Amino acid sequence: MSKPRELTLWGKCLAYLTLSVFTLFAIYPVLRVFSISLRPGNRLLTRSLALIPEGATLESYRRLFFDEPFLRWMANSILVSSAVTLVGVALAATAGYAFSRYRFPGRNAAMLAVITTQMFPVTMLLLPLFIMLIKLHLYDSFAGLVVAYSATALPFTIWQMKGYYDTIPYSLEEAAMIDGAHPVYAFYRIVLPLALPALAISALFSFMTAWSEYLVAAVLIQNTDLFTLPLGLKYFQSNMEVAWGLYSAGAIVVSLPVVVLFMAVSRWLVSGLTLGSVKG
Amino acid sequence: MTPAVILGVIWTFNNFNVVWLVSNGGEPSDTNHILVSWVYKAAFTYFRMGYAAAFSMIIFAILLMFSWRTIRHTRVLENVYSG
Repeated sequence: MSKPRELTLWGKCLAYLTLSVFTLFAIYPVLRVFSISLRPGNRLLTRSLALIPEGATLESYRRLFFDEPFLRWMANSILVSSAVTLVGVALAATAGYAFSRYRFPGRNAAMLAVITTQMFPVTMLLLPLFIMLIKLHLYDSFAGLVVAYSATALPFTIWQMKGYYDTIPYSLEEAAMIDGAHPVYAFYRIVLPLALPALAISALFSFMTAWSEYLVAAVLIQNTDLFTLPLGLKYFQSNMEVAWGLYSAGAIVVSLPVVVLFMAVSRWLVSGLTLGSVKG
Repeated sequence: MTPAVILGVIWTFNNFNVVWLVSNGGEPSDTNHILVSWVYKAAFTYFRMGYAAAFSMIIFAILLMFSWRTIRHTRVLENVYSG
């Protein structure tokens, strides 16, 4: 690792100025939403720029948790996201291993095919997906959501795991197998523990994919009891009126777990993304 | 890094939400579209399904060409132990 280059004073000022401007752009809408969630009643627009509005109240949050089925939706979201994480990590860990260690006919084609699935506009894939899941009797169920989300998350996680496995020397497994370990055992006990950072990234990515997805869920889920959080948020927005207070309070609560999760593993995330890149 | 770059480009290229919300569906009169938002409008507002499907194939071809070239160029597919 080479030492980072020192910036000149001017360079530093410029860098911080640029970063501040972009941070402001990114953070202002969030603060605005936060401010709306604190307003009493249903007020969206105001000329005041105050972050804490006049007569600030937590009423929206109270209604969110006690008057609306928000906790139920949150439980649904957690269930679906956890299932997607489990499926995604299990499949990506094994598929990535095969792509990294074995040479077989169609390997390159398969690797390309995996990202090919991301190249079609999702909007056009909705209709076939809908028909397919109805035929499989997975419509309006969590299982259908889990299948759809896992399929969305897998291409990235498979490539990610493959890249990371490439950095783990094959001689480790060879040594284990010379000592009589079955290839499956060598994978499970030698390689997998070493790939823990990559596994964590795959897990985080799968979780976030499922947590904040709206479009597919909107098509597949009709039953209010099965709503995930993004659907629940949209529920506050009806044709005639939007419950802006509830809407923004919900938005803040929905984004919190992801922000916390992301901050907890962000260092890992950045290093992990580049770690698997020896060939890149 | 290469898979992250390729997928990042694909996701941004196909980023529907931001464009759709900012331009309110391509307003004024469908002049503010990117390829993906135009496909959506063609399919679900004008119901030109065949046209939209064909358009999707073109988007697919563009992205496939880009990915293929990037993969060939960076040789990311080659197995570390196959050399």
